[in-house]
Formats: sequence, structure tokens, C-alpha cells
Amino acid sequence: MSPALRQSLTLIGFAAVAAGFALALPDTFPTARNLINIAQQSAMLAVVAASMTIVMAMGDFDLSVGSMASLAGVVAAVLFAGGAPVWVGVAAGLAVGLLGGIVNGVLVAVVGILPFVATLGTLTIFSGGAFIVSGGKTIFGRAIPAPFADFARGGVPLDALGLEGLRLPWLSLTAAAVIAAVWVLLERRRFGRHLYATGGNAEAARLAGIPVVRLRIAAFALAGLGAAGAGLMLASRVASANPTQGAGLMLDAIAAVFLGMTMTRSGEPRVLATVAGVAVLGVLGNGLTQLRVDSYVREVLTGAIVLAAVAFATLGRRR
Amino acid sequence: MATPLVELRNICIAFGGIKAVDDVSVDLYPGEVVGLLGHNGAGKSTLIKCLSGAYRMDSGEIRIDGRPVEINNPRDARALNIECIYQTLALADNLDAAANLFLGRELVTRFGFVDEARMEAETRRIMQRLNPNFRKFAAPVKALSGGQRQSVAIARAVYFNARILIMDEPTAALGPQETRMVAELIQELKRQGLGIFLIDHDIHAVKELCDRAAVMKNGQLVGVVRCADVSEDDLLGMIILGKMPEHLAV
Ligand SMILES: Nc1ncnc2c1ncn2[C@@H]1O[C@H](COP(=O)(O)OP(=O)(O)O)[C@@H](O)[C@H]1O
Ligand SMILES: [Mg+2]
Repeated sequence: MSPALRQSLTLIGFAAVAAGFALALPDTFPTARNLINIAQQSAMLAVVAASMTIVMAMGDFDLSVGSMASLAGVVAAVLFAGGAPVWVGVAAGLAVGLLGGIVNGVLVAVVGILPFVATLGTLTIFSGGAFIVSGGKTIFGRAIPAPFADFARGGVPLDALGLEGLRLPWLSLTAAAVIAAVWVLLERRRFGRHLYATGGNAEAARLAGIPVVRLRIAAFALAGLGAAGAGLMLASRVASANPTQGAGLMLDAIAAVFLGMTMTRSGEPRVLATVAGVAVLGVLGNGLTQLRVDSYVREVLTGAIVLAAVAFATLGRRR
Repeated sequence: MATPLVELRNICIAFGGIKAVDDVSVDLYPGEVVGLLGHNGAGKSTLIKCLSGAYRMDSGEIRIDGRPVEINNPRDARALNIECIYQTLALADNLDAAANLFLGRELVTRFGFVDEARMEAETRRIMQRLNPNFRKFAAPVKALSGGQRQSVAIARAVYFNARILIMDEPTAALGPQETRMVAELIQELKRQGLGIFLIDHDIHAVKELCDRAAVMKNGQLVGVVRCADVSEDDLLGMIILGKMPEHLAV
């Protein structure tokens, strides 16, 4: 399959689905309010997927991001419940993410365990850890400080743009900032250049003097940090934390990156393409929910999309 | 005589009990080209990889300008102005020529951003000299022909003002015209005072380009001879029989 065809197929499919939703739901789908809704619903996924792109750029991946998101949310919530100020809970959640990511990186780069196996192991550990920390319960209500919960409800008013009463959510703006940071890192800094080189030929990268081990640890650390950030955003959005609420993020994030890979010329993970993948999944989820399609059916669809995207990406490479 | 630029002394390295390089000593003077000859598997690449930092030798000593040095990784070697063109080329296939040329040593702007424009300009400049027919500056190097890839690897080794250059079969994928250009390049670099280790299967080329030739067999050094003192047949005999030619044998 030619790269141009492969690149455009995903976009054509996406346009067709979006047009279908617009026809079926003329009053509620193609509206500014709904677009903002999608941008808010997708913010957590965008953060996880953007940071997943960092590890996938060097040909690795991280299955533990979903359970890390849950763990970070629960850690922050438990601290809140104990009376800690917002910044302490947030900092602790992010620190847990960074630390967990470093553990992943060490297991992969130093011990030499395959990323799939290593992060499957830590997925289980983080997930179990989230249950232990929370006592298996959902932490909600008065335990969650108002400023923390308000963050997800607030945003920049868009009245000036003629969109009376609408706000560009802080969650979406946070996601945009993370995407921008990852873009700079991957596309404009030596760090990103070295990640892609490692993904292309790790031995060549090593022979060029790139400290591949440290680089991989740093990439996994950032993936963990992103996952934790998304977990905190999610906790803010639902004003509660439970030990499984981030679980769905992992597969969706990998799906978004793979979808993005079908859209890049080289078939490589690129963060802006990942964002397009997030948009596809966001629109799909939103439209199907509005059409009252069962959530299990949506899961089946997401899985099928991942496989189709991987198949496309693989076919594109095998020329 | 002057101090050697490089002294490899009693280098040993084994892989899983197999001695790939067994007590080999060779030296290299500034402005000198030393050829490394031997059958496939003789240990030539492994020996020079100890100098380039790709491998850590099990025992032995490396001296640069007469001083013992520690080369534990490719960064150490680069810091000593040692550049290597690997037999495998060691290119990141997904990156373009400029990204490969500057891999690990990217040019950045004042703010630390990768300076694509300057790297491409520099790449065009050096390729103009090394391979004027080279055009594919924007393509990932996996889209390049074997010869084009080889010229990217050569450009990378030459660009950074090496003092010690290692070329492991640099012309394996090149046509006759490009091979001649590499020969000219080697002579020019030699005039500039570089020391060059050249691994090449073409005995004729080695005799032509090299001042001395070191022959290896089964990981051991057969001997080091001055190319002026031996015939091509003598060199072939050393490679096959693993013995010094009679007129030089002690
Ligand atoms: N990384 C490695 N692992 C195991 N064996 C190796 C490795 N590198 C080289 N060897 C072995 O060392 C010997 C010398 O190989 P090499 O230096 O590549 O020979 P040459 O370059 O002279 O053809 C061969 O037997 C080869 O199989
Ligand atoms: Mg070899």
C-alpha cells in the first residue's frame, strides 16, 4: 500500500464517520458546545497518548499507564482526605508517576526485560497498589477539596468569540500545553532526535555516543509522569478517585498512537498525529454515546480500530 | 622515530569462550594508513571496535600519543578524536542524511533547539566534496542505495575532524568511481596527518593505499609488514597460510 493512500484512508474514514454522526444527530453533534465537550472528554486521553508517543518513538511501549493514572488519582485523594492541601496531593500524585515510570525504565533498559512484560508486571503492581492505598473504596465528596474539583469544571469564557455561556475547559488547555511540550521535546530537541534514532537502530544510536540506557529511563519516566497527570485530571473531572478509573486509558492511548502512525508519512509515531488519533477516538466515543450504543460495543470497536490501525501500520512498513 | 598516534597492545577479547581477538598488538603513526587483512571472522572488526569503544576489551592496553587511555564506550572514543566507519554503517534508517551525520552531536540553536537548517547546509557542503551526485537529503536513509548510505557513513566520520580514522570495509557497497573517490579521500586525509586503519578485502587496494598491513587469522596477528616490502602474493599467503613470507621470516 502506498504511504499516501495509507495516510489518507484513516482521515477519509474519520471524515465519513463524523459526517455520519452529523447527519444522525444534527442538533447535538456538530455544535460548538459538543466540540468543547469532546475536547474536555478527550483531555485525559490526549495527555496519556502524547506521553505514550514518547516511549513509542523509540519502539517501546508502556502498558502500565492506565493503572498508574488510577494510582496517582488515589494517592492524591487519600492525601486530600487526610487534610493535605491541593498542591501536596497533586505533587505526590505526579511524584508517584515519575517514580513508577523510572521503575519501568530501569526494568526495560537496565535489567533488559521486554517492555511488554515489564510494564504488564508494573501494571499489576500499580493497580494492586491503588487498591491498597484506597482500601478498595472510592474517595469522594467532602474528602475532595473544592478547588481541585472546580479545576475540571472551569475554563476560559468564550463569550468574546460569540459563544455565549461556553468555556474552553482548563482540562483541554492543560492537554494542549502537554501536547505542545511533548511536541517541542520530540520534534525540536536533541532528546527527541535521540529517541527516534534509538527506535530506528538502537545499536547505531549507541555507537553514535547516545546514552541509550539513560534515554530510555527518561522516556519511561515521562510516560509515567503523563499518566499520573492524566489520573489527576480524571480525578478532578469526576471529583473522586477509585482504584480502577484510569484503566481504560491504556488501550485507548495505544490505539491513538497507532491511529496516528497510519497518518504519518513514515509510519512513525508523531505527537501531532497521535492527537489526531485522540480526536478520532474522542469523536467516535462521543457520537456512539449520543446514539446510545452500549459501552461494551464501543470497547469492541476500539479494539477493532487498534487492530486495523496496527495492521495498516505494519502493511505500510513492509513495502 | 616519533611517538605512535595509536598503540594497541596485547588486545584480547572473547565471546562466550571464543577468542575473537587474541593478544594482538598493532600501532599507527600520524599520516599513516595501516591495512587490516584477514578472512571473514579473523577478528578485524572486533579489534577495531575495541578502539572505537563499541566493545570493551577483556585485557590489553590502548595508548594514544604514548599515553594509556580508557575507552569504555563510543563517547570516550569520540572524545579522543577517534571516528569509525562501521562495516554495518551504523545508520538510523528512519532518519535522513543530516540527522545521521550529526547523530549524537546535533547542532542546536542558542535556545537548545535542533538546528535543522544548519545541519542540512553542512551536510550538503560535505557531500558536495565526497559524493557530488548525492541528492536525497530529505529522505530517510533506508530509501538510499548501498553506495549512498556508505557515503553518509563516510561523511559522518570525516566531518568532525578526526585524528584517528577507522574504516571497516568502506567501499564494500561502492561502484568503481566512488571507490576511487574514497581512495583519493584517504590520501588527502593522510596528507593532513590523520592516522587511518583501513579494513579492506581488496589486497590490491590495500597495497596501493596502505603504508603497512597487519594480517590476522583466527583472532591472532600473523604479522605486520611494510607494503613496500611485500607482493600481493605475499599478503595473500599471509592471509591463507597464517605465516610470514619467507624473505621476511626471522
Ligand atoms: N558481538 C559478538 N558476539 C559473539 N561473537 C562475535 C561478536 N562479534 C564478533 N564475534 C565473533 O568474533 C569473530 C571475529 O569476528 P569479526 O571481528 O567480525 O571478523 P572480521 O571482521 O575479521 O570478519 C567471529 O568468530 C565472530 O563470530
Ligand atoms: Mg568485519
